Amino acid sequence: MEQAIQVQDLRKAFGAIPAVDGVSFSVGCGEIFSLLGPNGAGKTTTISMLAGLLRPDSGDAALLGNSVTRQAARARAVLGVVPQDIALYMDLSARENLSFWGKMYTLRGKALNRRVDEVLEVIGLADRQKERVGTFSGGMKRRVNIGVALLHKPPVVIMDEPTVGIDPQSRRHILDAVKELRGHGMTVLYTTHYMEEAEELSDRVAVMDKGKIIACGTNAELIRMVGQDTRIELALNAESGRVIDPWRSLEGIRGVTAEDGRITVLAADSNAVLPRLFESAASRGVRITSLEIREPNLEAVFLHLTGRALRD
Amino acid sequence: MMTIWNVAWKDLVRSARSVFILVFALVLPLLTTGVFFAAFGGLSSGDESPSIPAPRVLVVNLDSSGEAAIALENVLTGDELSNVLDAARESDPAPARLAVDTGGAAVAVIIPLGFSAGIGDPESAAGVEVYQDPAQTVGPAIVRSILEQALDGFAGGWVVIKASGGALASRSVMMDGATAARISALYTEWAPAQLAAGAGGLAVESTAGAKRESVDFMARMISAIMAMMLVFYCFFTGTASAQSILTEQEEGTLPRLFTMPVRRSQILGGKMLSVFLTLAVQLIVLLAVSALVFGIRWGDSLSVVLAVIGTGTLSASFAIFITSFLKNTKQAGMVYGVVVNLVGWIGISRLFAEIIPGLSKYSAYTDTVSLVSPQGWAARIWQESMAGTPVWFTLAGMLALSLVLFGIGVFKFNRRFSE
Ligand SMILES: Nc1ncnc2c1ncn2[C@@H]1O[C@H](COP(=O)(O)OP(=O)(O)O)[C@@H](O)[C@H]1O
Ligand SMILES: [Mg+2]
Repeated sequence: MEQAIQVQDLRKAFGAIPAVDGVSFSVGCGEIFSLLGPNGAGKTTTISMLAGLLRPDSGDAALLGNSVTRQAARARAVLGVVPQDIALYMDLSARENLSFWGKMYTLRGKALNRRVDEVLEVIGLADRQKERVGTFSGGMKRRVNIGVALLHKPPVVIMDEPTVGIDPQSRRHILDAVKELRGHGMTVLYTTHYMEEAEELSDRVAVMDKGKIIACGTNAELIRMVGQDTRIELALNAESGRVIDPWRSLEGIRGVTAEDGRITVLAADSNAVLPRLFESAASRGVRITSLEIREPNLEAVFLHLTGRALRD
Repeated sequence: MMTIWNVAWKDLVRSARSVFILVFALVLPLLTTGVFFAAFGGLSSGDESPSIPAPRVLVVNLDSSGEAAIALENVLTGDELSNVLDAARESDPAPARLAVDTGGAAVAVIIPLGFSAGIGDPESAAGVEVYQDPAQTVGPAIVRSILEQALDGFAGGWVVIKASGGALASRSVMMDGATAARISALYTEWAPAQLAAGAGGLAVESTAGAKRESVDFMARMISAIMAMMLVFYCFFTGTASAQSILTEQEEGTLPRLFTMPVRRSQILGGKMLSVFLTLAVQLIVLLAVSALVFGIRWGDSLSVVLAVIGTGTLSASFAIFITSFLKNTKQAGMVYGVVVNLVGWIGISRLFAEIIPGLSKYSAYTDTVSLVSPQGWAARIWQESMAGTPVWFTLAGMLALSLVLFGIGVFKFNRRFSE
C-alpha cells in the first residue's frame, strides 16, 4: 500500500524543551490514524511541521511522497488541515468563510459554489449558511472549522483535536463525518486526548507522550501488547464465599477476588465466561444482582506504559 | 494576482462590517467637522444664499455729530450688510451691553465720542468698542472683520498723508503740520462720504469684501478642520486595517492561510492591498460627503486625485511600517494610540496654525516641523490642493517617503513570516 503520510525522525525543540523528540510513523492511503496523547505530548507541534507551519530541527515528512520541507507547495496542495483552535472569520457567514477559504485552495466559480454546497451538507449547516460564524455555538464553529479543510477534497486530512469542548451532539456529528471521509478514500491523521475517540475511529493508533511515540498499532495489538484481561465486576444476593472457589476452577477464568461484597473476575474473553458464571450461580441458588464488564482499553495501555492516566 | 485580490476583498468586506472601523474611518471625521459646521451655522460660498444666521448687532454712536462716526453707523446698519448683520441702532451703551449680557444681541458696537476727530491720527485714535457675548464666536468675528475693513478705509487717510508726505520729501519739499492736517481733513471728509454713499464705489466694495472675507474665513476654517480630520483619521484607518495582520495571526486564520497552497507573499500582498483599498474608499467617501454637505472645495480634480493617491499611499505605508515592528495586538493598541496620535498632531499642527488666528505667527515653524511626520505631508498636499497651488513636489515627497516606509515594512514582514 502506498504511504499517504511518512514521518521520519522529526524533531523540534522550543528552547530546552524537546517538544517533538524523534517521531516516526507512516499512514497508509485511506487509513484513519490517531495520535493519542495527553496535553503537551507534542501532537500539535508534530502536525504543525507536517502542515509547513513549523520547520523541523531535523528529520522530514512526506505527504503522498512530497517532502514538507523541500516540496512544501506540493505537499500543501494535497493537504487539508483542521487546526486545534478554531480559525475562521467570525464576522463572515458560514458560506462566506467556506467561499473564501475555497478560493485559497484555488477553487473558482461554479466548482467553488458546488463544493461549498456539498461541504455545507456534510457539516450539517446548510440551513444556517447565511449566519455569521460569530453567532454560532462552539460545536457549529468546530464543524465549519472542519468543513474548510475538506473544500478541495484533499487526499490527506489532518485534524488536531477537532472535538475539544463541544456538546455530545456536535461531537457525534464530527466523528461520523470523519468515518465518512474514509469512505471517500481520504487519509486522516487525527489527534486527540480522548481514548474513546481514538478507539472508535482509528485503524491504527500511535500513543504519544513527552515528544515520543511510545506505542503504535491497531487497538487490538496495543491491548494485546499490554496483555490485559477483561474485568467483570459483579454483586450477588448472597455471601460471595459460596461462589468464589467454584468459579476459580471454571474454564477461561484467570482469577477471582472479593472485597466489600463485590466480586472481580478476570477473564480473557467475557463472552465465553459470562454464561458459565450465571449457570454456576444458578445451580447454587445464588442470583447475580449487578454486573459490569470492563474491556481492556487504550486508557489502560497508556497507564501501563507511562504509569499515568491520560487525562491528568 | 487573484489570490491577492481575494484576500484584500475579504478584508474590505470585514472592514465594512466593523462598527469600530466605520466609526473611526467615516463617522468621527464627518461628525467632528459637522459639529463645527453646525456651531458656525454652516457656510455658503455663494453670495446669494447666506446660511450663516445674521448676528444681532446693536450700534451705539456716541459721536453723533462726527461725520465718520455717522458714516460707520450707516455702514453697519445699512442695507448692504443686512444679509450678514441684523443690526439696529441704540442710543445708550448701557442697555446695549445689557442686551448682549442677557442674550438679546450677539455684539454691541460702541462708537466713542471723538471717534471722527481721532481718525487719521493713529496716536489719538479713539477705539471702537466691540462688546460681545463670550459664548458666541462667529457673530463677533464677522462684526470685527467688517469693522476692520471700514476702519482701514478711514485710517487710509493717514496712510495717504504719510505717502504724500513721503512723495513730497523725495522732491525735497517738506510738508508742514498745517498741510498734513489739511490733507487729513480732506480725506476724512471724502472717505466717509464714499462709505456712506452706498451706491457703488468704496462703500459697496469694502462692505461686500468684508462679507466675502468673513464667509471665506469660515469656509477656510471648516475646510481646514475637515482636512485635519481627513488626514488624522486616514492614518488611524490605515493602522486599524494593517492591524488585521496581527489579529489574524493571533486568531489563527493567518497560520491557516499559510497551510494552503498559496504563497505567503501573496497573502501579505493581499493584506497590504486591503489597507490601500480601505483608505481609498474612506478618502473618496469623506471627500464626496464633505464637499456635498459642507460645501468644501478640495481643489481641481487633478490635484484631488493626486492628493488622494499621496495620502492613501503614505498612510498605508506608514501603517504597514509601524505594524511590522509590533508583536501582537496588545502592543498595537498602545503604540497606535500613542505614536500615531502624537505624530498625527505634529502633522496637522500646520492646519491649526492656518485657522487659529493667534497661532498664525507660528506657521513658518509648524510648516517645517510638521514635515517630520507623514501626516504633515498629507496635510500639506491638501492645503496646496485647496489653495490651487501645485501639488507635484509634495506628492513626490510623499511617494518617496512611502517607498522607504513600505520597503522597511515589507522587509520586516517577509522576515517574520518567511517560509
Ligand atoms: N510555540 C511554542 N513555544 C514554546 N513552547 C511550545 C510552543 N508550542 C508548544 N510548546 C511546548 O511544546 C510541548 C508540546 O506542545 P504541543 O505540541 O502543543 O502538545 P499537544 O498538542 O500534544 O498538547 C509543550 O510542552 C508545549 O508547552
Ligand atoms: Mg495540541
